[in-house]
Amino acid sequence: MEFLQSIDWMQLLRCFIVGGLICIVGQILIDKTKLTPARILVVFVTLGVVLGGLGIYKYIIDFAGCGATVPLTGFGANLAKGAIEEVQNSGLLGAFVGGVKASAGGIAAAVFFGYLASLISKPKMKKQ
Amino acid sequence: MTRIGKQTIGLDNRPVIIQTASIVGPKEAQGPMAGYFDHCLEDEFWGEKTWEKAESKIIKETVNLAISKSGISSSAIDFCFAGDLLNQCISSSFGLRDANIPFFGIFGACSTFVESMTLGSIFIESGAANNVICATSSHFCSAEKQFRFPLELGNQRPPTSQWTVTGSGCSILSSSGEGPCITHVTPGKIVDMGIKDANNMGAAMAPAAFDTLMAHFEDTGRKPSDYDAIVTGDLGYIGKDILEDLCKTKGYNISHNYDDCGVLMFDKLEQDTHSGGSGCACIATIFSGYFYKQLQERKIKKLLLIATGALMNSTSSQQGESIPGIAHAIAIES
Amino acid sequence: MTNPIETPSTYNKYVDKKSPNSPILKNCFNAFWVGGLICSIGQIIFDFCKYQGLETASANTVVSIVLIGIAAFLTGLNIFNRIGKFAGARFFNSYYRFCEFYCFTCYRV
Repeated sequence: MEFLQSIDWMQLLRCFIVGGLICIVGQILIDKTKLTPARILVVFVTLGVVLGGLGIYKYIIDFAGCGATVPLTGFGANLAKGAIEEVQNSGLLGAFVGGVKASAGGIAAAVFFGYLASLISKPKMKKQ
Repeated sequence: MTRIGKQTIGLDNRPVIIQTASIVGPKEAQGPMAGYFDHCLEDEFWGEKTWEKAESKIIKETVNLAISKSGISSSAIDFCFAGDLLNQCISSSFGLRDANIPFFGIFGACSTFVESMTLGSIFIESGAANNVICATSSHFCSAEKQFRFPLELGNQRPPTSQWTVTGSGCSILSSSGEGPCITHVTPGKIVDMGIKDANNMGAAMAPAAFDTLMAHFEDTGRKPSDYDAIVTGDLGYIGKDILEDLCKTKGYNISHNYDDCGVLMFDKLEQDTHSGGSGCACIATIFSGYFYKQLQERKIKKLLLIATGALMNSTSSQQGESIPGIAHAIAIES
Repeated sequence: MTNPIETPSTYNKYVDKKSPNSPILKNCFNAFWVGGLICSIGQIIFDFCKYQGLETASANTVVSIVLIGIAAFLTGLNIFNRIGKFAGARFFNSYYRFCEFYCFTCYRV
């Protein structure tokens, strides 16, 4: 209960709106362009890396919290942030190490849960 | 046989389609044509571990069913012409490896069924064979896996996309016997009008269907009204509409007696199949199940069957290539 | 009627006119609220982690791990693809995609 009281509801609303808006951009790209989903994914991550690297994305994160970090642009920004921090710590080698290091948790989770899911369930036909 | 015009062959001995068989998957079994197929499956695996193995089983059982319905023994079958959509046509080759019949694996994408019947007819007409089997199959799950995305991915399908039919259709052609016979074959040319959208196959294949249809009419001197039905394989709602428009530009009105198996196969609203069915099995099952019976009962006396195919693979799409189409036509009389 | 099939360029224009468009407003609306909802769930998980005393970076990692776990779970139950069809772009815009690609490389075999 204390936790519920501690939630910043305005932040949650900003998160909802910004996250939704980023998704609308993706949806427009799907519907209006011939870009394949894989290409859109790459565009989003790359955009996130560029905005993160330029230091712009952190303002969006400050404003919208998870509305900025959960979408793929957030992943790209995280990669950029990790690479920059690691370069500051360990020099040029950090550029290669830092990005993956920052997102290691997510990557490992994807590998682990993906494998687990494929063991437990069977491929199924889609209904629609 | 006689060569007529640019690309049509007239068959004087008229190979007879003595029997057909069709097996379809569960979604097709819920469609408007369900009552016409020989067997409807309850699920896409049919007891097998993978979709590819299931597709092989489907074509194998369809061929066996056609042979047993025909009353002739499989040793009397001289040649088999079969193909499918999978890489290297493994569905047909693995499915029919125990058939013990000299085998021609062919690929025409979704035009394979009519291509197989064209080649089979020529073999019979020339005296090289007395009985041939022509079969093809497709499977929604194996096709999606190969050509598009894994089913689990949850991609949206645009309104122009079509649903690959799960199933197999087979016909047995013979030099003698009772049944509807093939009178003319018009093999098609590859036609590429620059459509790159793999989600709009109907538009990609319609120019090829148009080209073959015009060649057939010009070569034989026939008109659309000479046929009780003109049927294409899987142009879908959009491709069907486009073909009707294109024919009008040359002064041919086909809208009175023209239909498409992709449109017939599914209920557009109930089954959410967007522009309709597609895949090798679309025309194969609907011809083998529905149109063959109509021909046998003489409800249709003259049929022009045109199977359409899109000659692309996932690599060509990813490399930004357009989609070449092809369409083969055969004229059948009962 | 001008011949639509005269050149590839005229045919492409003709096909564009003939082909129905996706219902873009409905798609955008669904992408908006489903996307916003997933981000909000992430935000609540994040706030909970911070409440429990975790650092920001760790909290972010927990959010991604949990969301990926849920995605894998829903994929296994065959629900995920229905949500994807409904809400399209949402699923292009999160770690889910990441997870999906891995899940189905396993399925591919």
